[in-house]
Amino acid sequence: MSHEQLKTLLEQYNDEEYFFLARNYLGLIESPFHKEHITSRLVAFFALEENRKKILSLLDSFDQAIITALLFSGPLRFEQLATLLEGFHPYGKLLLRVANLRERMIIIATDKMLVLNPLLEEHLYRFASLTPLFGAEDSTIHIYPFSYREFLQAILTLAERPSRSFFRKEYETLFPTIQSVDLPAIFETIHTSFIKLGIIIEDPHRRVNWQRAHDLFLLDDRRLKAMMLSRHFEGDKEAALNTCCNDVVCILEDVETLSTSGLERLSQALSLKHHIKSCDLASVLLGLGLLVKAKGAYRHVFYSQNEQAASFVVDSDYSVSYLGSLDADSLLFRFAALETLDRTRLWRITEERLRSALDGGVGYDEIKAYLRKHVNGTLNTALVKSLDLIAERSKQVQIYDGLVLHTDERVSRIVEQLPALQEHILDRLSPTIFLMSRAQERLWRQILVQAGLSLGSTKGELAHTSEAETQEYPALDWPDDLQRPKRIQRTVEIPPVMRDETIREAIMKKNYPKEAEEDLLERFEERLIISKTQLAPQILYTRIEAGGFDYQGKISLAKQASSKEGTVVQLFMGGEEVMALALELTYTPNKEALFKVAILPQMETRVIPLSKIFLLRQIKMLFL
Amino acid sequence: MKDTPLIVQSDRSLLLDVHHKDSEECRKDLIRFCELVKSPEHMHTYRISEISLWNASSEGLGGDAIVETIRKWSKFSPPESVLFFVRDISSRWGSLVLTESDDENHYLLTVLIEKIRLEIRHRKELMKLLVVKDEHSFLVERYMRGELKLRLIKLGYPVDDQIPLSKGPPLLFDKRKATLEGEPFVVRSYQSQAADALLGDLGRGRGFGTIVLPCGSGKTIVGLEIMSRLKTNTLIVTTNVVAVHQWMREILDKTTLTSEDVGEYTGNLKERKPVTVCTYQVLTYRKSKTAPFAHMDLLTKGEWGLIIYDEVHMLPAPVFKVTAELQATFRVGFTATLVREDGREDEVFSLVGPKRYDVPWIELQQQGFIAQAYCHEIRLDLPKELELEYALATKRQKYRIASENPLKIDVVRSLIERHSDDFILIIGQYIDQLEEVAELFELPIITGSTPNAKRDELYSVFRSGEIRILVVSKVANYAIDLPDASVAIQISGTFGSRSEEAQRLGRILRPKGRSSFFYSVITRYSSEEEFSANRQKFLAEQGYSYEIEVWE
Repeated sequence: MSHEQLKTLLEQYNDEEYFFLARNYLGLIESPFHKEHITSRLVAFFALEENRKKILSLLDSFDQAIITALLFSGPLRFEQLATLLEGFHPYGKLLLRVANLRERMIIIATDKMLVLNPLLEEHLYRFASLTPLFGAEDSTIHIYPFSYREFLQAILTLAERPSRSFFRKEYETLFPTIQSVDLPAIFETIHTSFIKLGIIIEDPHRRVNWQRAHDLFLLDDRRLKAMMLSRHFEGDKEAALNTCCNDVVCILEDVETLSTSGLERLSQALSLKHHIKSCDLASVLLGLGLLVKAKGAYRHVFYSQNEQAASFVVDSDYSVSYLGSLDADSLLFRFAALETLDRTRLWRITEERLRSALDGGVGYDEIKAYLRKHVNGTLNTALVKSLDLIAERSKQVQIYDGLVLHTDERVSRIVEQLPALQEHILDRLSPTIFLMSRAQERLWRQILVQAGLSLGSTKGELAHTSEAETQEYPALDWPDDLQRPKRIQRTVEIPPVMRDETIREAIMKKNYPKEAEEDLLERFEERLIISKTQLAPQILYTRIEAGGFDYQGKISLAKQASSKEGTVVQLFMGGEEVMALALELTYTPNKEALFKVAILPQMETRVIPLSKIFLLRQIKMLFL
Repeated sequence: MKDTPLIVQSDRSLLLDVHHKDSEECRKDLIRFCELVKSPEHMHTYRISEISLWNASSEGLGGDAIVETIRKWSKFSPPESVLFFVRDISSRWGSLVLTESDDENHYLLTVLIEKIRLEIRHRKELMKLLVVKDEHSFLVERYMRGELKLRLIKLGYPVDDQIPLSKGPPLLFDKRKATLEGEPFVVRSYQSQAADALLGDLGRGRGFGTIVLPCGSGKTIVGLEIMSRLKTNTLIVTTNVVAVHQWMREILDKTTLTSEDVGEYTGNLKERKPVTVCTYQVLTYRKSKTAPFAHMDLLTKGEWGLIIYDEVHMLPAPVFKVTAELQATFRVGFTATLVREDGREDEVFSLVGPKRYDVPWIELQQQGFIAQAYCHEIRLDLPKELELEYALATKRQKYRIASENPLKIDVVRSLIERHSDDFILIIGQYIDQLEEVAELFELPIITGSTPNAKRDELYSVFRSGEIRILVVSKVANYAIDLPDASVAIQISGTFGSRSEEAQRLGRILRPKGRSSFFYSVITRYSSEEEFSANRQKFLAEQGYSYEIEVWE
């Protein structure tokens, strides 16, 4: 497969490039008319394990950074790569190194895109290293002793507490493993995700869509993190968003610690790879609790995926504690209030939470069966009785979109007798069913609550469903085929480059013509000669340059470069060394030659007197 | 994961699995540097606090040793933040030392760390109490000793108070081996341990503190044990006159002190004797809001060698202030319920002294030192004719209507019949309701308006078995010892007061060879249910479960 890919890529090269590579790697090419055969030989050369090993043994840390960027982001244009690696090496050096990698057939450039040689790509993973690109020097992760699902479930249970603000200072004690200064931002970001996923509805009072929450929590931790993250990227291509966020979550696990610039670089890389507009990745990842900032670096938060919780301990104060993680479809968080999310999770079964669960559609029998299944030993009879009574009470008044349905005589007597309520009763449909005024629901609810009755939410509100509820939300079933991307190692130390000196000796011993020998040695130094089979007396690597007092040579070269669009020149002027695109050669009235160039990468146009250029070199850069 | 009974949480709470084979051994180690927070049936919670660590430091248990103990017992690797806290906080002990000075009106505060010295100098509220003596030390007026310690501890700087407590005038007496009635008298092991925990070797840093023991477990005996070890003039402050008499009776019954040595200082009688028992009420009595406290000098000028604060969680604010000035005196606070609804527990324990001893209620119950108690909550409906009245009432009125539900009378009747052999207390908040019960069942009643002599008489006949049922208001919540009472029927209470619920249960916890039953009667579907749930929190945390019965 990769053989064919390489062939296809090579076929796209122009003759000049193609034959340069063919001659370099295969030696003398007698006839240019059998390209297919030559291509097969080239592919065979790179498929040879010995040659592959030599190519890989000649990689250095600069190569490593470029290769890692391409492995992570996939094919890139050079300018994109340059943006990504900004700060690593000067632009000119990067340009020359990419050109060199291209000649070394590690990178193939077609259609201005840089791709890795398909025959080598798989092997390059062994040399790729995330740390130089994204990481920080000291790598320590942050461990939370609970799963991400439990963390989100814990936060979601707090959403139903009546409060304008989603975060309240008192919540700090519930999450003792998390720095209290970080919690407000975490709540805010998670709140945003929940809203965008249609799990929390603020319209205007906060409600939780427990069905969607249930669907969300069926995802495993990786997908859950990615799903929460996906709502912070902009883009309408759901698949790209999913893959991107999946990548982020995986790379955080792999890189463990990110430097500030590394995180910015990661953001750029993702944007390039997935063609989506990036967000303020640092804030979002901190806010989702996936990173923490400590000692000047961003540290990955590892949420422990403990073994499944064996059983709950339910104590006389109705506290529920357990070690280990809960099932994906656990019900505990629906009817218990969080006390502490830590190594031991502590919850407490409260009337408020139980009523919320019942109100939200969880069956009481389901809750009891759940408790019986999970509790260590026998369920406390006092607890069961207490829960029975709460469940019974929750059924006493049920409101169905403007109808008050009450289930016992006591409530009907109160409804019947409360003077303030009478004007809101439109009809009495049966001894226990009242038709109430929908328009004044807020008022009569207030009257009922003041009378000491506890009311659940209104069920079946079809007539005035809010905009937030009718809005289309993303599906919460994450695609099954979304796999973890191939892992790039966190840190790989590249050993110093060791050239095969026997090749140099062989070149020297062959008595080649001087120019051919120099050319071979130069190619050897540039890591283009990796095998003695490549040795042939030919001149391939001639530098096209003019400098010093060779004014005419410089004029000639500048003219030649300017005549061909996209020609890159390297200019040495005093202490300055720049890469530029040659644009035009003009003259002053005094016949002084002026070289108009666009300085890379900013493309700033400059007109430089040729006399000021100490050395002018033409570079073959067909990937720009 | 080790097979050990302890889990250390990041919030510095320690969860002890009480069913683990090593839990008892672990508990013994924990109580040296932790406070017991709650002790329900399966998982006990302890907490490491600044105060608990400094107490440990003052007893020579340093941060490294504590860390080692935590590591030893912890099932999982303990959070580094907790270990850091232990070391950091423990290391602060000894940086500020309070000693005698050359000046008889002042003590000397030496501050060994420059940073702390600077902070003190920059804090105006502290410098009001201090005079700079030299580069390292300050002078503080003697009577401000407690106040200074309190303020510094609130800033996170404990003072190592090396000034020995003053020994008061000696008082020669012993404990009796048998009571006046000839019953053998032996101090139980936990009572003796509590006294040890307070007094230690009587060296510096010892001789003051709070002892937390369940109701009915014999805190008075711990008091007598401490008195008999110090053998000095003693002032005992308690909650009411009946409790004063109980203390006096116990002292005379179980020590060689005579009525010549033991005096009552109450509204009725003003005796100052080597052992004087008084009420908080008399200490804080004044003729008008601006007038001085007429009897506070009993506390301040009594030359007491020991002051016992009974039911210390009820310490009234004016006594707080005076207590702060009495830092040179041996002192002990007793309580069963470490909760104040005003949240001032910390101040109580800073001034009287840190918690020195605490034991889970259920543990004493299992050992038979307090009675096995079964708690029931009985719920019943409001009568139909009150439903509308309740629905239209304000929140406060609602609670009262629910509390005074007339159908509760029927429940009381049934319970009296159910416990025909038991000694029963019917306890309530509303006098009208209690009087109705008393009248209906022809029972004696004690309320705030009952003269003390009458109260004594009624308690006495109850103790003697002449009467079997007693109706009492909240005046009997605390410090009333009725050894034979085994059933309490609570027909109303002070909203959500957790300590009241526990104290009421406490009235029936004296071991008596039979189980005790506590009934809380409340109105179903009313605000009484919510308040009741709150009231039960403290007991639930001690391992008591309420069986709920609905009476139709």
